[in-house]
Amino acid sequence: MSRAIMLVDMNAFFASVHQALDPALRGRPVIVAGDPARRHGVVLAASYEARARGVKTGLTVAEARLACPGGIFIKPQHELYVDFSARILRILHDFTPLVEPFSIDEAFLDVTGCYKLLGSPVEIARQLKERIRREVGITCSVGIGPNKLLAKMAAELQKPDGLTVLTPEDVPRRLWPLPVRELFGVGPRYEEHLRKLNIHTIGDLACFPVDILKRRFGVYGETLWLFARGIDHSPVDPGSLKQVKSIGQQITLPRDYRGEEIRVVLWELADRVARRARTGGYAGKTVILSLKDSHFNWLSRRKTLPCYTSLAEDIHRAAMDLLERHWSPRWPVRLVGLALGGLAARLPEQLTLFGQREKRQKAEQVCDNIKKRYGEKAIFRAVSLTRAGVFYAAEPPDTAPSFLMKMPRDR
Amino acid sequence: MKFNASKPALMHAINAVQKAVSPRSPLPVLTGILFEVTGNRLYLTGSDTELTIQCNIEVETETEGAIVLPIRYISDLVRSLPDIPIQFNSIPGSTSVIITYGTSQVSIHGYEPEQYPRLPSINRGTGIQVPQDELKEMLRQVLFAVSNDETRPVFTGVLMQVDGKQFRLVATDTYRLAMKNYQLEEEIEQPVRAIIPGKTLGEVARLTGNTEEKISIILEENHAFFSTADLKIASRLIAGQYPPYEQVIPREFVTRTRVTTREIMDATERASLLARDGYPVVKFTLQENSCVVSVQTQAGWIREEISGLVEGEPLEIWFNARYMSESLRALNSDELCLELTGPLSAAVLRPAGDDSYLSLLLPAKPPKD
Repeated sequence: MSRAIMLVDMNAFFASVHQALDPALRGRPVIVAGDPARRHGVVLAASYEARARGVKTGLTVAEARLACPGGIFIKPQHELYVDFSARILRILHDFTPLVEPFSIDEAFLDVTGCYKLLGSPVEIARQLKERIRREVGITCSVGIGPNKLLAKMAAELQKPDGLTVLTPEDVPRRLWPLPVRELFGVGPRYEEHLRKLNIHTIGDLACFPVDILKRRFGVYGETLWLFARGIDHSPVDPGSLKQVKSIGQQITLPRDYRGEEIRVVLWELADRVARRARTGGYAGKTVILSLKDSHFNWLSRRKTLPCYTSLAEDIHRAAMDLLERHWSPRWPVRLVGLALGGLAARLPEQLTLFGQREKRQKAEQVCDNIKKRYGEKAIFRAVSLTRAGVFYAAEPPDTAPSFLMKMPRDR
Repeated sequence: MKFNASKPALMHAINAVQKAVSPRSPLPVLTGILFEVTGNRLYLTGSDTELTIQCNIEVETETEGAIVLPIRYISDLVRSLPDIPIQFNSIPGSTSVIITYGTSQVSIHGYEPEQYPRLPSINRGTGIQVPQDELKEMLRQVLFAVSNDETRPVFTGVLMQVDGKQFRLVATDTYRLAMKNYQLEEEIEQPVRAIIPGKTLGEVARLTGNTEEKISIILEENHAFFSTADLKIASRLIAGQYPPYEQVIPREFVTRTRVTTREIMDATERASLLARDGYPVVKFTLQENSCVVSVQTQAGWIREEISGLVEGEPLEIWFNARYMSESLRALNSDELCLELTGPLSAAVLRPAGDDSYLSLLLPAKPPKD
């Protein structure tokens, strides 16, 4: 059965968000850039009015100002974009549950099963474009095709405010003349590899012997060849963006740390990483330790654990093991990073014999609850009170743990 | 040092000792095997200082002497030699050996023998004698439960306990526990406990024969020794306190079943094929006169019903399929007696009609959706 897949792509998303919020900006060249105050900021998005004057994503602020002297430069406000993105996704979810967020401003929809309920894919596309325009104030381009690849390629064909349908029959006529770089999945590196094989257009790739591509680039060579012929079997997966690969945190230290002091920071990082893993319902199998000194010497080592864990104690133990193995106690450290990888979600939990693990688990769980209710600094390890502590001991604790407070204090 | 030996005898001895040698040791001499000729015997020793294995074979000695030869070369070289008489001749004043086979020769550079670790000497310890085949089977029944988590050394070893006439082995990685008892012929005066590295016992199991000939075990304060006619194994003990394992063995049960080991093992292994990501957990439902093995995953579902006698309350419990099949494999019995005290507490697996062995298996919490 042929599928009906849709890609919804917000036009100049960041700039459009600002234009939607501030009517004064509509129709004007809006440029969202790193930090306009600093000259080395980079353009993150430009409205179509600014693009018409040659402003492109990736230019420096100085270059953009030169191209478009009347441009309105705005500092990026990421929470705002996340919020708008979520609002748009909610609208998309009104049409089908099969929505795969692809980036902050793009999403795939599988509307194969919506025909009887909502009409043809083109009608659905018109409806959702209208709703996003009316409710959020942003225009988008919609591509429709029998698979994700053609939907994506279709959306690219007409911007802004486009609505394009690509069928497999259209592929030779509409896609093959395009440069191969335009094909989804071909980046600058592959463009260069393909150029060496005298492949310049998507058509060149589609007509190239597939066995040579397979030998040169492995499975990906065949995937690209199929893409060039408009073939793609990947499903619209609503959970794809939610798959977290690792949870990590790093910190630059206020001064050079050595030996024992690093142990303290590792405790604090392990606690934070473990807590984030538990909150997300994850457990991981690999611990990755990264260290840097102030002279840019750096090191990153990983260790695979015997079983999945979300306990700070396990993470800390593995990190200490890595530290002892790969870093001398005399070497200074300026940056410490700790990550838990090899994540799996909602694992069944293996019980243990002497109950030690369950006890530690309970203890850490209770700490999570206390922190959630009374704040980050309500409870922490005593090592954080030493000189080496970075997260908690920056200021002396003005409320001592209650069990230390035998006498009421006057304040 | 000069001697003549046959290829099979040399191969046998090298195979016996080579697992104790770490070819990548930073100390060059430890990357080799010690060859030592006294009388008409060749003593081969391999050691990483923790574990030392010595094997002796009969040779035709011309002059006595010793040398250390690197394992990387000597092992493969001897394996590839033709099966004809082989002569080893160390060049006086050097650390090289010339190996002559027929009209051909090969020379390898080695190391001074003086620095090589020797077998620790036995002072006085508790000694026991066990038939080799019995010990081999005992080890097979417990070694699967040894942990390979180096951060908790105690669990990477096997507890060996001798008390009166009872000889006991216990291993646990905290997820499961295996315990095997053996009745000694002679009584030991002083009870002893020692934690022996799992790696050592793996080698003991590999090297002991399927014979009723006895192996003698001597436990000292810091070392354990195993010896047969041609083999000596010495190992450092693991320091530390073994956890109070006896306290965690359930004494009562709420559900008990007897099923055919093979049937439940096959069902578990088939079910685990559907649960390949993360932990392969499988559900066991004990109901009237049957045990149902089932699992439902994204890949699909499976349900197998195994008939068996079930006493007590019906119960639903989840186990890691890999742990379950390893435990069943170690059971050494056609019939399994499974005793349960609840869905979240240890299950007891026993071979039906045999009190000398039991293993515990901790369940997994039922997966949440």
